[in-house]
Order: sequence, then structure tokens, then C-alpha cells
Amino acid sequence: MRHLVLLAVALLMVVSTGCRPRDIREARHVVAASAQSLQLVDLQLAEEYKDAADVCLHGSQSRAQYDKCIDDWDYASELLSRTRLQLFQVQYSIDLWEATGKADQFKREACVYLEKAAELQTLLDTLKSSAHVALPEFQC
Amino acid sequence: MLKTILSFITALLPMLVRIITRIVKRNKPALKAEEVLGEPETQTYTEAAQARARADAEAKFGPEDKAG
Repeated sequence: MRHLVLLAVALLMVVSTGCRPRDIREARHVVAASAQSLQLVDLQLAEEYKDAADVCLHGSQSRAQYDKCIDDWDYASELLSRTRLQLFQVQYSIDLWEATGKADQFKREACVYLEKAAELQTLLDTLKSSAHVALPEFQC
Repeated sequence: MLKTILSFITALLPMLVRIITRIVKRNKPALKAEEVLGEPETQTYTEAAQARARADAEAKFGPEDKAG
């Protein structure tokens, strides 16, 4: 009988290892997937930025002309950086959610992330970039 | 009785192992954003490309007109 009890306890321990509320676990997986998507966008955008800067540099007669030519790409870079930082905020809010059991801040940060990511995608579409930002399905 | 239960469990063991493996895999922790993107203050590839392009523009046209 003792063996059975030990086996049952061992089974319970294995099953419960790493178990967290399902929503928190899913939210963390969404953050990881979004991070991977942003990383790919960054790599693609860096190449496209380089090409655009070359075109602007060779087609401009003055610094002001160059700055105007590259302006939208500069903004895309800025938006990417802001979106990336916001993803870290989402991650911190999940830590808080896990610690306190309250998801309020996560919901706020996730919605801000979604807005920024959507704005970045709109700008990338305008620039005819082939980079694609994955938009997670957060309920906002 | 105990012998019967133990032999029953032994027979079910391969299935139990499969179920447990699946649960453990499902509970595998997700990657942290830092593991994919680096630390928050790390420069992005695009920022690095931007810095290089600015240096090229500065070499060709001179420093940026901050007031403009």
C-alpha cells in the first residue's frame, strides 16, 4: 500500500510541476511568439532601411533633402523600438499578474502593445516593407 | 489484491509515461523576451543600420541641422 501512495505522490508531483493558471501560461507563450516576430521584423527592416538610406543618400543634394527622404524609415525604426520596449512591459505585467493574481495591468499593457504593433504594421505597409508584425489576439 | 493493482499499474505504465511526457512538454516554460530580443536597452538591428546611415549622410553632407 505504501508503494501505491508513493507512486500517487510522485505522479502528482510530476503533473503539477510547472503548472500555473492556464491564462498566464498562454500569455507568456504569446509574448515569446511576439518577441520572435519582432526579431524577424527587426532583421528585415534593418536590411530595408539600409537600402532606403542608400537610395536617399545618392538621390539627395543636401542633408535636409536626405533627412526628408529617410524620415518615414526613421519613424519605422522608432516605432519598432517602442513596440519592442512595450513587449517587455507586457512581460513584466505578466510577472505581476502571477504574483498578485490580478490581470488588470496585463490587460492595459497588452492593449498598448497591440496598438503599437498595429501602428508599426500600418507604417510598414505604407513603406511597402515585406516585414510582417504578428498581432496577438489580446482582448481589448 | 496489492499484486493485482501493481500488475495493473505495470501494464498501464507505458501509457502513463506517455501522458506524463505530454504534460511536462505542455508545461515547458515559454521563452522570455530577453532570450529572444536581448536586454531592453540593447540596440536593435534597425537602430544600428540607422546609426551607420546617419554617419554616411554626415560624411557626405556634414552634420545634421538640429534646428531644422
